[in-house]
Amino acid sequence: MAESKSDILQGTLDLMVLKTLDAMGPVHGYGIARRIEQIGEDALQVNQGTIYLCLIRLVQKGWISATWGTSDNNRKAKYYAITRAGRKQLRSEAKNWRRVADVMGRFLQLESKR
Amino acid sequence: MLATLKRLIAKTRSAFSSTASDFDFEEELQSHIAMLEEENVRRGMSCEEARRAALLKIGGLAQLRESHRETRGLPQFDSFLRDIRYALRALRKHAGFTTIAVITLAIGIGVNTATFTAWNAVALRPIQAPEPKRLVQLTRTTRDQMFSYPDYAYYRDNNRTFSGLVAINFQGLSLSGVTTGPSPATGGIVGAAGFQFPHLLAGTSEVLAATISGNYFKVLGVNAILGRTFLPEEDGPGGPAAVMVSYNFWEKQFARNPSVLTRNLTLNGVGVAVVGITPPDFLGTSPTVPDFWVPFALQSRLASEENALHDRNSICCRVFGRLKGGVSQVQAEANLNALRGNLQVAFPETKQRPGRQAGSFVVVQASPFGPTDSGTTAVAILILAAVSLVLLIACANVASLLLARSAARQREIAIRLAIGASRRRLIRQLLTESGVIGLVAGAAGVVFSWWALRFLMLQIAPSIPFGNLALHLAPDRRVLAYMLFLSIGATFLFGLAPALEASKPNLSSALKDDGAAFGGRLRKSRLRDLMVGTQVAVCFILLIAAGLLARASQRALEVDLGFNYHNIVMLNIFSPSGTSAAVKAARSRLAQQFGSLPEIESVAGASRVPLAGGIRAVGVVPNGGDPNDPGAGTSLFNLVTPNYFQTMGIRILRGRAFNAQEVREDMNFDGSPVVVSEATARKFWPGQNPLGRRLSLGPGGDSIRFSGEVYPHSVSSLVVGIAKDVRSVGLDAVDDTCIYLPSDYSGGSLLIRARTDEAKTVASVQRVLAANHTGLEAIVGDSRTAFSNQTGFVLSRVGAIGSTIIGILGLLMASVGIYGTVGFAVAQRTQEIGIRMAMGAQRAQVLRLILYETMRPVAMGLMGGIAGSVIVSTLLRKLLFGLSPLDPATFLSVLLFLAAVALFAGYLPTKNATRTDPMVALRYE
Repeated sequence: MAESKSDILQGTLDLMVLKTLDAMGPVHGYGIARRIEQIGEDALQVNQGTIYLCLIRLVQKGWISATWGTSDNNRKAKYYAITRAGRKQLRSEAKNWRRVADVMGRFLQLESKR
Repeated sequence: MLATLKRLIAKTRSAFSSTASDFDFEEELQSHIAMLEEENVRRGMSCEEARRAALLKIGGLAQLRESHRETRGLPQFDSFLRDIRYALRALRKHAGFTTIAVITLAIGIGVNTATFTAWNAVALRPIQAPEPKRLVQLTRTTRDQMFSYPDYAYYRDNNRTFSGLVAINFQGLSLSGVTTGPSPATGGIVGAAGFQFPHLLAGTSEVLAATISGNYFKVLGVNAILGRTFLPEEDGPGGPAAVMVSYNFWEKQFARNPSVLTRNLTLNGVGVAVVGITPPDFLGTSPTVPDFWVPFALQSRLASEENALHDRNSICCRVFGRLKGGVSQVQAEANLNALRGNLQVAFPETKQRPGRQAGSFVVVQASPFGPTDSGTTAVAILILAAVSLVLLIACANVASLLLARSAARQREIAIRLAIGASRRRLIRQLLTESGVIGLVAGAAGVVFSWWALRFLMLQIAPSIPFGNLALHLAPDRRVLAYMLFLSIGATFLFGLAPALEASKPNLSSALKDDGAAFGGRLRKSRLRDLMVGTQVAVCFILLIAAGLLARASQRALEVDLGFNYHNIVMLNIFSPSGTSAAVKAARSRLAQQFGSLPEIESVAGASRVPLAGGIRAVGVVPNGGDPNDPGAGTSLFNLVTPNYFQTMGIRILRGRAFNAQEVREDMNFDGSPVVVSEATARKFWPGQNPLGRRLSLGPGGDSIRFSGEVYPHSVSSLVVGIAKDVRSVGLDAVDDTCIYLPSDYSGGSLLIRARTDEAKTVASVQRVLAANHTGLEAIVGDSRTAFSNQTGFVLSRVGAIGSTIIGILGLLMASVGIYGTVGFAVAQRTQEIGIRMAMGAQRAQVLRLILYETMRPVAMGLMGGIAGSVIVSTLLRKLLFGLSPLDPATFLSVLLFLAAVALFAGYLPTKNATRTDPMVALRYE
């Protein structure tokens, strides 16, 4: 079962979280985890706890901010929002990621033509 | 980059608020789990199932918490803080151990810091002026630091390497209208240590003046704190009579009243105006703060020595200079040496001492306490070595305490190792504990050293007869850095070995609790033996040094001087304002009055008091001849009254002393009789009978002359007597020459032989002086003062006191250390002792067995100590006054003493152990 799912590459989780927050606006950790799972369609093995470590790291870097709030079903939860520095980081990371993906894609195409 | 920095800041902040954010994180996790659970329930799971799935989904909670802590804070720093917190807790729990360890180390560090503080205040103190690095002193290869005034002026005006050269000398002056009160006789611990300095009789007003060139403050770049410094014309001939007052004297004498600037004072009978006050504790280029600063031109008027500033043959001052920017000391030396060549060509008739001519210039960094020569450095190193040994003992002591403790903590450590702590982690923990001890001890040591030095200064300061002591002994940055270095160094010294030893993975045996039985003790005993041995050896060396120096300084008092100094009172009479003729007349009159007092046996006069410094030498041409012969030999001389030999108890070995008719009143000794010492006779007439020979005296040879003094001159004097050799220059050897010339009381000091005790005589002398209303002033000293100025005596006496204190400290520490170590070793073996006793061993047998094992490292230490002492005492040879460095009495007594202390320290705990009931011992633990 685990073989079919890919482990998340180091650093990609940061990007996923940033993009999620950019797209969804302020949301709590559970919401982020759900969203990542939905988009990954069970292809990704996400240990939900690690998302919190990632969130702490991003807060420390000043890319996202956190405030306590109340969830839809009246539960106390911490809401995260992307900051301006985070958007900037997201843009440059996304560009970077696309470039890498592009190169990898071309590389793999090259292989299949042989 | 910015993000990394932000993250570091956030991590640091969160490292200090760990519990709050841990709580935050926990709450968030719980909320997450709850949401997962709810969703699972919605999907139709049962409550238990839902919770299980949720927990699975989020991953291992414990690992998560752990990595959260690592992500959030600074794990290294965190664990360091935890180590410190744990160390503090552990140390507080064992308050007894902590107190002893801290006190022991604090004494060791304190003694070292005190030594360094003193060295810092003396040798490393820069001149109190802007850019002190560029201030230098002009010395010569001949170690001669004095210049004549015309020579100084020549170098000052013709060099190209200095932005200014200044000259300085010291003089006593008399301040009229102000009574300074008598300087106290040496008291306190300084007096108790056997020192006595000459002191002024009551009613005198002698002040210490620094005589300086007019440019002194300008070149140093120092301003007056009140008023101004000197103007150029104030150091010129016929210039206004202006002086400056030191802050210290201003405070002492004028209560910091600024009106002193408008007052006229009278110095040596001349009215002077005070133009400025120097900054507090301003030393300039000298080790003591003077009362007054007087320009050379004015000084020559005050002392009626107008010619002194023009005489190339009389030396008068030390010279300091400020190097021009970018000029090195070597360049300055080359420049000065070239000028010296010019000077020799320009003034070939200058009969300088050959030694002085040969000396080329050495430019050294200026320091108030003079250039530190190899001798001072050697003494400093010796002292530093001695105090380092104390610290070494302290470290050994604490190390063995730690060893003992780590044995007791064996189980704790074994458990930590067993549950997975790495050995490095454990060592770090143990070293943190040691570091906390070291730093606390370091802080205590600084306080201790500061207090001790202050106490010493308060004891010594009042005993200094002239000037003001201004040592800066407060701990500065350098002292604190040194203390930190010592503390950390000591931490590793005493902490590392026990930490390595304690953390040795030896799980099974420690957990099985047989560490204290037969086998366990052997493993640790080697390191402990080494500690005991080191302490004993170091202690032995210190005690040997103390013993040898104490015996030597006693010996210095008993050395045969060639004259009898007991019950001799020395009196220096001078006039504050009167002419020298008046003083001469007064001396003779007073000598007669003193002589008629019943408690005084006789009164002699001499130009030079033995052992009181003031060495002068004349050129000697044996067998008559031209007294001006530059190639003459040299001899010390003393102008004495005919009764000098009898008063001082100097035996005339052959021939005769002088009689009253032979006395000369001026310095012309043509054809006069002279008495020479044995050594002088051997020098000029080796193997011949000197009686009846003739000699001429003149300015030739290596004569030593000072400005403003008149020197004896003679053609064809007749040797009429041979006097026994005396030690009048130093205690270490008899004078190599001395020629006695017949004179009256005008010559200099009065030497009074008292029938009874000295103190009573001093009192009656003072009464006579007061009754005479002569306006004369006097400095008085008894026989002890003579010794107090002798370098050899001072060094060996101070050395003896110092090394005794250090030695006693060392001994105390070492015996406590031995007691503790042996006590612990014995306590560990209580079970074994119980078994031995139960098996029928006699108490005496057990006692002997254990003592034997205890004394083995002590014996090794003693052996090492003997070897070390031989080296140290050979180094001290110069201070021993002929005492053998291997003096058997000292070595034997220290050996026995130390062995006895060690035996006692080992016996006490052993005795107690053998007293215990075997059954109790067996049940021990």
